Amino acid sequence: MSSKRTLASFVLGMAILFSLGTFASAEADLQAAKREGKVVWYVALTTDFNQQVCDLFNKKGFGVQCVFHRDGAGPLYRRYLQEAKSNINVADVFTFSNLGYFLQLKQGGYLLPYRPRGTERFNPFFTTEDGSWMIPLATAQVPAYNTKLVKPSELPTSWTDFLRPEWKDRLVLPNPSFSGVAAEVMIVMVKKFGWDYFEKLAKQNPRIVPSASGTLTFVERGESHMVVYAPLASVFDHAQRGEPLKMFVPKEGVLVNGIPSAIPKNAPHPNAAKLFVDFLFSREVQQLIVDSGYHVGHPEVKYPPGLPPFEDLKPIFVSPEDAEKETPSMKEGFRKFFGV
Amino acid sequence: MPRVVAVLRRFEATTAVWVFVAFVLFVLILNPLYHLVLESFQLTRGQGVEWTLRNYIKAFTEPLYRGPVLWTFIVSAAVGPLSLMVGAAVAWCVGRTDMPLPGFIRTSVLLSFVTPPFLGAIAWIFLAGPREGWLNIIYRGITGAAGHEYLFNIFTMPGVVFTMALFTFPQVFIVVLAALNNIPSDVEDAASIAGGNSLSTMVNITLPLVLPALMAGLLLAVLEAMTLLGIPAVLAIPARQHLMTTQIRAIMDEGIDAVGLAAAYSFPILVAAALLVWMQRAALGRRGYATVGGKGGHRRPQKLGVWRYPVFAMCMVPVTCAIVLPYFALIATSFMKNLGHGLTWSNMTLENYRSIFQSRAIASSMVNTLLLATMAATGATLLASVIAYISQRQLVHGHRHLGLLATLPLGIPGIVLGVGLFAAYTKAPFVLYGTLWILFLAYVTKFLPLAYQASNAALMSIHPELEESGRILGANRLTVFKDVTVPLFKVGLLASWLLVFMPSLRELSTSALIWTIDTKVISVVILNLYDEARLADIAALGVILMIVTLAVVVCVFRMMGRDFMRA
Repeated sequence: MSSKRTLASFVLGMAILFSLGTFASAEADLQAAKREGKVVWYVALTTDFNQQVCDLFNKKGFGVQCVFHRDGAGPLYRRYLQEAKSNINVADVFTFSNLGYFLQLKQGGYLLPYRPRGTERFNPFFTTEDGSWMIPLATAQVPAYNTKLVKPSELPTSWTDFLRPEWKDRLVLPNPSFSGVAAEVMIVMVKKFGWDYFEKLAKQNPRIVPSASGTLTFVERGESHMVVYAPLASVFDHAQRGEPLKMFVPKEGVLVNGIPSAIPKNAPHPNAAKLFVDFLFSREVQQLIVDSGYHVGHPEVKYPPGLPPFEDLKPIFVSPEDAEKETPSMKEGFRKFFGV
Repeated sequence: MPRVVAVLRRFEATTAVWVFVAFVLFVLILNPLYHLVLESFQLTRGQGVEWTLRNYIKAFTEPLYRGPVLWTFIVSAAVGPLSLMVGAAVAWCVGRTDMPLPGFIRTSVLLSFVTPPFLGAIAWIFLAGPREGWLNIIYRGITGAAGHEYLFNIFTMPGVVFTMALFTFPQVFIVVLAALNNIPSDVEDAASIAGGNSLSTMVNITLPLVLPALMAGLLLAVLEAMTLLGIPAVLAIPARQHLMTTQIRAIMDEGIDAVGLAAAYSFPILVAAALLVWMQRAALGRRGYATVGGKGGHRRPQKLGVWRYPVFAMCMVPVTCAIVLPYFALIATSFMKNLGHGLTWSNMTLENYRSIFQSRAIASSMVNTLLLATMAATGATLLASVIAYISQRQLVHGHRHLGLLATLPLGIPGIVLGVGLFAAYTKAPFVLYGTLWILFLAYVTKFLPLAYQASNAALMSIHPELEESGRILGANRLTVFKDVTVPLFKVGLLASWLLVFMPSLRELSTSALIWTIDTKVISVVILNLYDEARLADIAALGVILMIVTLAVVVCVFRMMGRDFMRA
């Protein structure tokens, strides 16, 4: 009996030790970070934004220099895998979209779990229980139109309104073969309206372009009048710059997709990485992110005018497992109806 | 024993040089290829790999993958001959006639070669997009046609072919112009004396003599059309058709084993490259194309008479489509505050240029790009000219295969080649990742075929009699190569140099995987801006890139003297 108890407490003790080891301590080790001196950020956000965050971090006087490598999400993911394969360790922190990639990285044992400071108060959508990855920012996929070419009275109120005859030849769509989020939107739509929706949408003869943000230039120039779904943060950014572009939220709600951050297991500067991730989730940076048109999990940020708060989006989520499982069939279905 | 002595007696010290250069080529090409082939037979299993044919089976049985292969062959079969015709015709007008302003035409054609193709494609959307393309707006203004009618629609397969031809004909032009510059007028005079007019002289005398250059140009254009990614991504996707490169790009996003599948899928292009090299060899046969011999060599342009201006106007057509119109679109866009407010005075700004000049990252990538392009052009030209010399003068065993080897990289789409290069230069004995050297080797490898084809075509025009006289006078092969051959084909060398320098400035698909924070190049900056849909900034950067290149090209022509690529 007593030996059983000893065994049980031993197992429990090991479990606690083990969890401490894997979840790491909640606090980043400032001294160790300083010795490492540098943090390399693999990030798919805009260059201007990354520069702002790094500059801010460097001014904090941690003694750690932030440098960023900006590229698309797919290329960053490919590069990391190639580097890992050749035993080259460069990246300390990832921030790029598609939870599917992070699921693959987790399953392959590439990630170092870490829950940054203060995130226990965040909206749970932005956190994971084991800390494999955390979500410093998210954006929604919303319809947006050219304000010079679309009358307010014409505006659809439901996703199904895009199937009405007046939208024939006037729409533009991103291609899910190139854009991971486009595939995720399709998962939501197919679940709600069936494949029938895309079959009818194809008859509207929309323009198809590779990237999600590429759709915006088509709408701005008037080559198309409305994009059916595009990243809200890009729409916000372009509208701020003075483009005649405006978004709206259909009554069924919109897909919100998280852009995760994680620390790879082979990070050459793990302590600096933790320090930097803590910083990404601090109120100061979370506010900076919100001001750029993204949504965050921090409870105390203030959304700028023109950016609807998180709840007003009527957010719809897709789990990483579903995204991973369904994406191939979305690409195939799109190919069937749209040819590419 | 006497045999060994005989072999040693025949052995020349310079042979060591030829063998060494052939070996460098061997390593340069086969090292990345080897890693690609390896990947194509592997699938990841847990932490290890499994050897398999499944990548090939999937690549060739998946029905979705067939359309892109078919369309890639259709498009490149159209682009090749079109570029050949346009490139050769313009080269002849510039190099062999008294048409006005040949220097202007020459420089313009060269410039269209530095425009990143996807930027050119975007410019053509601005010009010929069915709804808002400026040419279509002008058409509606003139004819009073309704708002939904249009004259041009760039989002069609003919639109893709047209745009691709605009960016491949300069390669034909450069190779053919270099060859035309070597043809002495006496052979053409002989034709005139025999009663031929300008046209029949060109068709019967001049063109057959530059056949090696024409074949080289065709080969380069066809393979470039097969491996271009930018134009299909921007134009063919809206035209609702995948080509092989866009399909490969889509495959590459599919996960950990994507590289092997992509490598297997690009196999048909590699086969096409090998086939084209074989056809080229068969077409040229054992005939002689030597136009530079020990005698004469005076060159005189053909008199066009009343046709001078019509011919000039004809040459202006491709120049207008490749340079004047797209750069009008880019320059106009580069001054716009917002794309959405069109070409109005209130929408004009210098902000786009200011932000580019202020960015230190852009300045350093501009320096990297120029440095790399210069190094790669020089390295590839040196290597290619020696390889061409070895293979034509049959200096080492297996010389026949050197040409194939030096052309193979053209058969690998850049995005796939990048993976091979990454694998080759991140492992011992060549750990170069993170340095400019890996980009240097990447550009040399990728553009060696262009330099080789140009050098080879140029070398065919030089009669060995000149070298033989040098040898009789006691010089060894290396000295002859340096003192006789190189000065005679310096036009071909410059052509090679430009053929590598220009595309190195815009190279993207291979650099995309191997650039790092400290070794960023300008095309990567452009791609990042494109990701952010910042077209006005891209346009400004494109205009700056064009001006810098123009300055470099003009300087090179000045430095090399007026005899270089005479126009």
